[in-house]
Amino acid sequence: MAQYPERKWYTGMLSTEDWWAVWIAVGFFFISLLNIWGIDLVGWMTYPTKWVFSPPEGGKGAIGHAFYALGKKYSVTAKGFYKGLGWWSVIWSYVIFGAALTIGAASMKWNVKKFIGGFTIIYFMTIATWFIGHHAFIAATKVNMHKYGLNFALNLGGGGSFILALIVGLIIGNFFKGFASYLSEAAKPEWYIKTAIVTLGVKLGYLPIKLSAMSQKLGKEAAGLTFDLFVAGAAATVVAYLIFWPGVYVISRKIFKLPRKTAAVLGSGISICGVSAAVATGGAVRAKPVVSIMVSALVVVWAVIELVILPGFFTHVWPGTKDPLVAGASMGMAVKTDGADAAAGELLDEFMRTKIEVETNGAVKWPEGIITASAVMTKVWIDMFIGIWAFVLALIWVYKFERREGERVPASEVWHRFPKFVIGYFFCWFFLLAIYFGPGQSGAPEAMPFLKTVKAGAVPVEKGMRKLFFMLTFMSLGIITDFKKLREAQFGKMVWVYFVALFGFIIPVAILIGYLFHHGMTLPNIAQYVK
Amino acid sequence: MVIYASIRHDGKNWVVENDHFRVEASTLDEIDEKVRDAVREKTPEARGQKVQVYMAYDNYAIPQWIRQYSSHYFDRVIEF
Repeated sequence: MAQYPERKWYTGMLSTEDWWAVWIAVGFFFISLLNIWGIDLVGWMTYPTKWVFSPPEGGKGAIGHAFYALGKKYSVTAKGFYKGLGWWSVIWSYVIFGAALTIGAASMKWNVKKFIGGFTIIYFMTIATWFIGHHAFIAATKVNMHKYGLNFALNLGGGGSFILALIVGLIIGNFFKGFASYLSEAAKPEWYIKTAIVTLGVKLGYLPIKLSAMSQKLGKEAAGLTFDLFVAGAAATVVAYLIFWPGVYVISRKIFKLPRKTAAVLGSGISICGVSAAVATGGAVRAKPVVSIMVSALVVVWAVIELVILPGFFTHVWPGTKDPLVAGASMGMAVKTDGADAAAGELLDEFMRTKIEVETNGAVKWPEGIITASAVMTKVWIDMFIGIWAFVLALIWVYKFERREGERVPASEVWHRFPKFVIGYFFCWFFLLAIYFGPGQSGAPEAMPFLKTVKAGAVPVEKGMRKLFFMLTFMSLGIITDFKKLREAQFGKMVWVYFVALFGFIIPVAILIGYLFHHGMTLPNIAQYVK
Repeated sequence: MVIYASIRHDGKNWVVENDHFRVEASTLDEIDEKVRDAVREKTPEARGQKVQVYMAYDNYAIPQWIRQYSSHYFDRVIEF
């Protein structure tokens, strides 16, 4: 279908996943704020807890409580109602999130019938893997396994569920391709992760409020730490850009003798931010779209391979629990799609927090989400720079390499390429910070009853909704990842350029830059305040 | 005078079209030449004026699985 009109600044607001991630996440965020006026409309959001088939007497882990509505724990005004939901919260979440996503899908003119069918299957498979992954044998640690009557546990924390979801998705994507094709209308990892990243903004803004309930000093520390990550992430990203792109371009041209346009697209795909950058660069250098499409297919597959390898490597080989934020920031610079990066950051968060708790026998516990945020922060900066980089590259290409009479590059390209979900991410973060520093009085004791109402709304969104959308991302990533793509002959040389550049250059440099800008940043210990 | 059109690549050729004309060519240089000719021929009111042709990339030409990563390919502007 052709479109002739000029692209306006607001074009795409109702027709792209990017904007729909903002509408859905910010929409639920605003609904959550009604808690300030005593109206709790988000307490139904479902969340799993560890379970066993036969809980010990007086112990924890009954299957009947394996899923609960978060309002049961956090609601100020409707605790009794949400307590009664139990497993029904799974259905409530399906219906309400499903309806919101379907409105988005319809607005984007997708096949609604196919989307509802695909989403229903993906959602319930996700819930099933979330449930299995929370069996105490998988999720408990040696610190708390005795509460479930166990003498041994895998110490995977919530990470086990993510791995299971990815495995199930990969099995479908690689062995049941007809089924994967049917699910493809709803298997949208980038949409789900962008929605989750906006809710991560809620998490960042809520963090000082959460820690203020433990101590006002901890709350202020958390606000300072997230701001440090914001600044360090920006600096690290700029440095990474200046090293990554020329490096990969030279490797592609000098060692693998690729044509200039292909080297440029591949350089962006491997070194900057995967598919978005490959598409942006392809457009900037006026390459035929097929070049970007080929590179994009490579990026998606390699990003999933990184997702499988890097969280475990960073947790158990280097830097381990000594420098968790170095690991997070490096992840953001090394993993090349938003979905795989944020998913890898979340996995790293689970692994690191579980490891430090086990290593110290429970004496050190880190708040969840900060390591994920460090991985997402560098990625978000990279996403924002893509538009500027593509614009600069287009200027160089159009005015120097392939000069054509009368052609000029519209500056609006920068805005069209700007990742809109980032607006939602920063909006939620700064909105909650404004509440914390404003009416929340920086966590002063007299403001705590007010902050408790904010918490009642924020927790279901930053915890229940965010984790569910992460789980949907893992499952969808697996479904759309077909490893056979790597074997297809037409990619030939590019597969090897990618391999050499990624493991021989990008990941080591990402670790080095992550270390330079994040080494020594520490996470607050909340062990004395939590059970 | 600004004339709006869409641009896409069909796997073999670049294609530029709007309600008044449709041209295709294997290179951007050729397509620009054909666009100039088509505008002169099909848009009499543009004669003697400075014309700007704004070509918005038709993102429906990008496979759907990629649009979730990047909904925008590029827009071109030529003036003559």
